[in-house]
Amino acid sequence: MHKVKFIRPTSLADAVQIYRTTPGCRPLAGGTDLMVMLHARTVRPEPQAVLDLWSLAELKGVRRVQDSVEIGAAESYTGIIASRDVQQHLPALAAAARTIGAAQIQNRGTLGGNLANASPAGDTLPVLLAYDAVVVTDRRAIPIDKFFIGYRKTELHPDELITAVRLPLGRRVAFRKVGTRAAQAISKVVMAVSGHPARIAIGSVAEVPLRARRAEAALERDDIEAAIAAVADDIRPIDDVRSTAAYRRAVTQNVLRGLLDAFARG
Amino acid sequence: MSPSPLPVPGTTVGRSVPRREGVDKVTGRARYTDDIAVPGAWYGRTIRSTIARGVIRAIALNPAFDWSRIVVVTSDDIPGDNVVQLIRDDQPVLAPIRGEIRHKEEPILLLAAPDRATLEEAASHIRIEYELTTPVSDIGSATEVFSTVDITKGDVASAQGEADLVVEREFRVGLQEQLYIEPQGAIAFPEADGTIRIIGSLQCPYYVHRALKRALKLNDQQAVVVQAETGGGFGGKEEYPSIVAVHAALLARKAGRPVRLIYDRHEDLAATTKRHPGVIRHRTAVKKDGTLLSQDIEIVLDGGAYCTLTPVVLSRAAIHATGPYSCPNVRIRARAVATNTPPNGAFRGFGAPQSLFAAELMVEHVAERLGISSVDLRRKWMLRLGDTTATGQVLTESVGSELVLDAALKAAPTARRGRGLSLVFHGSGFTGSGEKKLQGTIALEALADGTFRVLTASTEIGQGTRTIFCQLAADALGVPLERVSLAPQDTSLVPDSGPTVASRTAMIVGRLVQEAATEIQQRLQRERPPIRVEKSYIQPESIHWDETTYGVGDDRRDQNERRRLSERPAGHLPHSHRARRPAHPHHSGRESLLARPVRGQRHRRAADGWTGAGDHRRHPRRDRRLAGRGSGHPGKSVGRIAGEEGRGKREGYVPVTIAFTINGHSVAVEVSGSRRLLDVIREDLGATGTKEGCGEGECGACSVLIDGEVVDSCLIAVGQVEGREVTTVEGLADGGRLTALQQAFIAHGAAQCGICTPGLLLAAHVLLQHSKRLTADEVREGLAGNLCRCTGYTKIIDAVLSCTK
Ligand SMILES: Cc1cc2nc3c(=O)[nH]c(=O)nc-3n(C[C@H](O)[C@H](O)[C@H](O)COP(=O)(O)OP(=O)(O)OC[C@H]3O[C@@H](n4cnc5c(N)ncnc54)[C@H](O)[C@@H]3O)c2cc1C
Ligand code: FES
Ligand code: FES
Repeated sequence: MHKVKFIRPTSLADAVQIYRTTPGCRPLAGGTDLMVMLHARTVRPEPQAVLDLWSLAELKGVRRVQDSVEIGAAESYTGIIASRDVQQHLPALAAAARTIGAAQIQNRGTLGGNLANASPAGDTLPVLLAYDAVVVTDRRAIPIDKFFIGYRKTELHPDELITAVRLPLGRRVAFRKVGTRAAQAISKVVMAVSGHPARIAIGSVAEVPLRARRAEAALERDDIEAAIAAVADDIRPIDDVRSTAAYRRAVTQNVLRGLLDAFARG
Repeated sequence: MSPSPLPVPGTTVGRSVPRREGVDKVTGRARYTDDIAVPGAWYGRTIRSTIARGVIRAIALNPAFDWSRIVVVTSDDIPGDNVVQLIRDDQPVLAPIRGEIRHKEEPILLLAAPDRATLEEAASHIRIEYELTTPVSDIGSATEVFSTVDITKGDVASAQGEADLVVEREFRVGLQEQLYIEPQGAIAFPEADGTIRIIGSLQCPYYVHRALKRALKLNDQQAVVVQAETGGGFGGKEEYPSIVAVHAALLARKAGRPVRLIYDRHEDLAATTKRHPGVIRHRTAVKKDGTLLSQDIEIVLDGGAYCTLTPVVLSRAAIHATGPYSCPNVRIRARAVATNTPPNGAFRGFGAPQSLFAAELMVEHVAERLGISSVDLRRKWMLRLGDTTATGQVLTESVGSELVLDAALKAAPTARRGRGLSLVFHGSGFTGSGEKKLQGTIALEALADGTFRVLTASTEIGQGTRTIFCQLAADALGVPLERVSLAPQDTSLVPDSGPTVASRTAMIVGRLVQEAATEIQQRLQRERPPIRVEKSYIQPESIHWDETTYGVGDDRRDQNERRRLSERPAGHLPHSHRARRPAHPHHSGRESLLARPVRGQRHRRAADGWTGAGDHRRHPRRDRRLAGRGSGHPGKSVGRIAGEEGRGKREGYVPVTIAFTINGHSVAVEVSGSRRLLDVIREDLGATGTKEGCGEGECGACSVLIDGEVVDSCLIAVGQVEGREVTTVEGLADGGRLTALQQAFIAHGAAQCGICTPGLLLAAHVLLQHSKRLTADEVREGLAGNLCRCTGYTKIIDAVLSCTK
């Protein structure tokens, strides 16, 4: 693995340039996904070089931009949790970030990494879907519901870097993760829900993090029972080492009921 | 509790004293196998089968690859018997060429190379062709039987006829991984006279010694086995280290130089022994009022492909099968079968957890059918003084079931959440007549300088052995603890006191130490030192055990009974399982020898039982020396370190210079920037206090601080720390003065085997930096990224809390 060249760009512009022109190059942010895979040599094709994004100041920080909050692609979860803007306007994102790994992982893991890695179990992803976040790259802005196109496949071009994630102000989103234990667990089911507009976004229940469109339509009509019934058909869970499809279906419905109840209570 | 049986009024036994190697463990100085730098040593690796069953048709080494710098060992290179010495001679050291493969991950070839990259490359140039056979994958389809145990008491058939209710249930228990945080590993040193010396992570030096002698055709003196500091065992390092050591020895012998064979977590999980899976059926006959008439129990354990210690595990499973209950009519039929899966072996409890799990669930089922409380049912059934166990043992002393049940109920949480209770017993000491066969031997020396030395092969694996033996000897001798030392666990120095298993170390071996000390103390009245006394186990007259009838005598010397209550969150939503603190009153039959280690053992045991139903098998490295202040490697602690220069040129990449600060020293290393920070710290800078437990961010053993934030150094590319400040465990103590936290870890016994300790100290250090006011829950959350297998965490949390305001 140490045959892989390490490239340290001096600026975002430099990084974009290098990424476009270096074959076999892979961006490296916190490394909490990529370093595991590099060491186990499971990255295909095997990268020739890694491009360090961690040290780029342009990719760090949380800022207010008009009526949205913009989070740098390489800002750590710890930074996100500590941000007053996030605490105030995006509590569901802070809640999701708190469930990721433990201190060691939160100090390094980033939204850019969670997005590009595109695991169906990525915990921030349903939250980003529920907020209708926008993924900002070096060349465009991609609406989040267009971002995940298949199992671990994203809308990103092979030479495209995520620079930030933009989330709107003034939306109430509730979040819930179900895993085997409270810390350092991969989700069996993870969900984020917004009442207005109706958004029900779920992870670990299909090949991509998805929005439960039929359940959302029912919720739009304020028909909670119909939403809970419909969500079971919206998802495509599988049996795997962590859980069974049947369990995931039942839990998805229970979690949705719980989150909607919480909304109803205010 | 019964009075202490100590010959001399103890002054240290029963008191919490700091463990002997505590300072080394909290400063990162303790050297585990992979921490030992061996100049000129090559790296070894095992090539394993990718199929579960079949025959090796051909092994092909790609001729295009330069094999001249590689040592390849096949079964033809084994000078002695191709057998892993244990109970049965069925397991080969290496699958014979054109021989049978009986499980996935079965060792076929061994490789050694001067560096890891060459080793990896060589491995990719080997092709093994197999002829496949359909494997036996589970208990249901198994036909081959390793061993059986039958226990009969009374007449089950007629008791069932008289019953008001007969309840029948089947229970399944999955594989369970021991998950010691330090993976298996050994380093072998060939010496000019044919001697092979092994330094390794192991529980039983003489098991390894016997295996080496047999496979390498060595005599007693030519095989030398030394235990390095060992990062947990839990049974997983009882028999498996024999395989690692023999493999390393074969490589070292052929290479003519030392070879290090260190597993990574993936290999360890995939290939090494696990707790036996099992299917257990109960038919329990009762009267309407709950009176227990009969227990009819069938146990089938999956031994995996080879026998290992399976017959003994099965024996323990059978002996404990009834649970701690008195029943007039019992039939236990137990068998262990073979499947084409990696062999299963020793794991704390050794068969008992499986059968106790079933027995306890059975109590619940029967109580439910009877419509009475399962607590009342337990009270009705439980063993009391004067009762006879299924194996015919009349309990004449120290039966604590009533005591622990009451204590547990008193400690029981009253919260709304679901509650559970289980009552278990566990025998201490080797199973059956094992102690008699073993005849463990120890020695004690009174030296001319007025100090004393205890010589045993019993290993410290976190449970406190080193401290306990010294305490026992000091008390019996009537001397201060500081005057007693312990010889290293090196087979060329110490007699065979038997394996470090079965809770026998303190009880059986400890007793021998006491006896030797008493004798020395008496002889010192008349003689001058040096005096050496050896003591061997002699079975007391009162103990009989019949292997054929599984009847007693008095097999279990000690009726240890424990019960635990665990809260489980209930409600319609599934909760993430955050472990609530279980109450587990514990009756160990006598006063605890060493207050602190026993407490840790107990917390851990409860957790071992608790997590038992899971199946953890999954499919899925490193040495040169800058330690922090006070390191043993002066000269390298500051300045430029040409870590990989030579290697870099050879392997075709250009190393870059990366400058950062470590523990206050500026360093510049010339390495590839994509190397893991962990490897650079351990290998290039020689600061081996930082450990590798998993290599993928799960265990936290590799935790370091970067600019004051805790991170897993296995997930950091060293290029990412350019210009930053790195702190490792070696950097915590200031000029040799331990921090309050380090002292608290020692004082609270929070470092047992110690392999997790450096990482935990760093994570806890940051927590305390951020806030001096912390609740136990905050500490738990802050340390959630660090796994500890020994302590059960309670002592760690107490240690951290003691440093808050
Ligand atoms: C012990 C452990 C526990 C974990 N727990 C959780 C959990 O609970 N929930 C969860 O969701 N995840 C979890 N993860 C996974 C991981 O921490 C997250 O996915 C994290 O967000 C990844 O971010 P990173 O910066 O570390 O990504 P990296 O590992 O640096 O990169 C991940 C991928 O994204 C690419 N990439 C990174 N940044 C960019 C960018 N700006 N533009 C384009 N591509 C980019 C990389 O090339 C790589 O393919 C865990 C991981 C570990 C090791
Ligand atoms: S070695 Fe386990 S987290 Fe790094
Ligand atoms: S793992 Fe042994 S002390 Fe923590």
